[in-house]
Amino acid sequence: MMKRSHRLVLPLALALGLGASLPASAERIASKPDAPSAARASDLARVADAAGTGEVRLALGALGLTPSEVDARLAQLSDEDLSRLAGNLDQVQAAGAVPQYIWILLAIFLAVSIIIMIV
Amino acid sequence: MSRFRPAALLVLALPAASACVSLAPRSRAPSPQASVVPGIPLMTFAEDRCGAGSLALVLSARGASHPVEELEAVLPEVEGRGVLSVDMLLAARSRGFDAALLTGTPRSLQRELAAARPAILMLRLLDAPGERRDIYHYVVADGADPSRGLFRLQYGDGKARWARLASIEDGWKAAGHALLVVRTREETDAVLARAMTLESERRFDEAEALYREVLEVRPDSVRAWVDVGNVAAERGRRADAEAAYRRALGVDADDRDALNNLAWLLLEAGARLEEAESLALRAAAPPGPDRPRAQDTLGRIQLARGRCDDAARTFREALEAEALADGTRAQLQEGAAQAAACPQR
Repeated sequence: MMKRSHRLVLPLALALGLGASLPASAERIASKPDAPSAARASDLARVADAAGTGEVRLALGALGLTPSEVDARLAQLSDEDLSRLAGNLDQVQAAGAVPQYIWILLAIFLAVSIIIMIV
Repeated sequence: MSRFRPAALLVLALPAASACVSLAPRSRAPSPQASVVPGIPLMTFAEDRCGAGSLALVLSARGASHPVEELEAVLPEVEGRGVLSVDMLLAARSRGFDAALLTGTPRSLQRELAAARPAILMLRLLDAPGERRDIYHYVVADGADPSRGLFRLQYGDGKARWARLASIEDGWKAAGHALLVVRTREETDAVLARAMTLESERRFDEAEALYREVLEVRPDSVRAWVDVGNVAAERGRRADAEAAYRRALGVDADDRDALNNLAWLLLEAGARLEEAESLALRAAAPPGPDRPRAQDTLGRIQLARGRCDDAARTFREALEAEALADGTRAQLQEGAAQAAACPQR
């Protein structure tokens, strides 16, 4: 009975009362500048459900990072970072190292060069 | 002997490609209108230090001195591959900068350089057969010549190269057009302030564009998310506004502005009033200068739900606040009058 009357009252209140209850100037709290230090603490639990986390986790793992190393990065990234990276996994890369195979190829090249010069 | 030559050339190409500077584009002559980020030096760093080196160069141009050795010590190297793009981003942020790893375009790079902000591009130098063998490199863009479509690039060999992005497109595309932008907090705050000015002038589209620019580099800014929500609500884009307020609450679940404005949004829509009241209750709980506004929201939700006694109490309590702005007091008094005349009372 209680529920029934509530069901009747609510639409009536919405139809008749709501329009009258809202002041002409909406009382939204206005936009503000940022706080001096609004950095968010790391939060792995938060990003666990964020869109793109799985894809970025796999991409970092594919680069040879351990699960704990991956988690350490994920915890510091925002939802937007993760979403952005998940949409462009080519960006999840490392740069600046010269792999060992290059030095092996260089050694082969030198050897071949020497042979060519001798022959 | 001739059979050896193609193989020898191929072998020659591979190690050459591995050196960070060997595939740098040929430099072109810039026009007199070309500009370079003021004070940025030409920097030399070893090819296996292009992560730390390029970040040190960009941070130094932003007024922060972080030697390559210092950054190298905190930028972990993935064995045989170098420094992660993600670690570059986090290192910039941990040094007090706002930063983002974006999908770059000529326009976005031009935007950074026009504001005298150098940026870091990641390029793939070598597409080697097999997995995990490609070689990537960080370069710094620190100048632009729009009239000739040139950008100045530093590869870390102490030389400046003016080149078209087309000349590095293959390598940049392979790295997802990765563009690391770095801004000082003061620069971001200034953008936020400009956005607020535009919003107050009801230039909502321009304001929102700037709010979103702030969120690119400071994605966890509760204020910017609330501000985006306010602009979207002003434009009648309720779904976008709700998403923005909820995103703000994802960063700070107790933020009064986000709680109140989301509650107000739901009230305006006349939907989910139970949730709206729950949000408004949380918004109205803590003390502070905006508490009466949150109480006003709460009272109006209670009115809309037919809870006139609760609404009357809420407005009465709000009116007891010592310092009330005239507009807020008038709204509260008007709300209290509605509660007094409420048919369910």
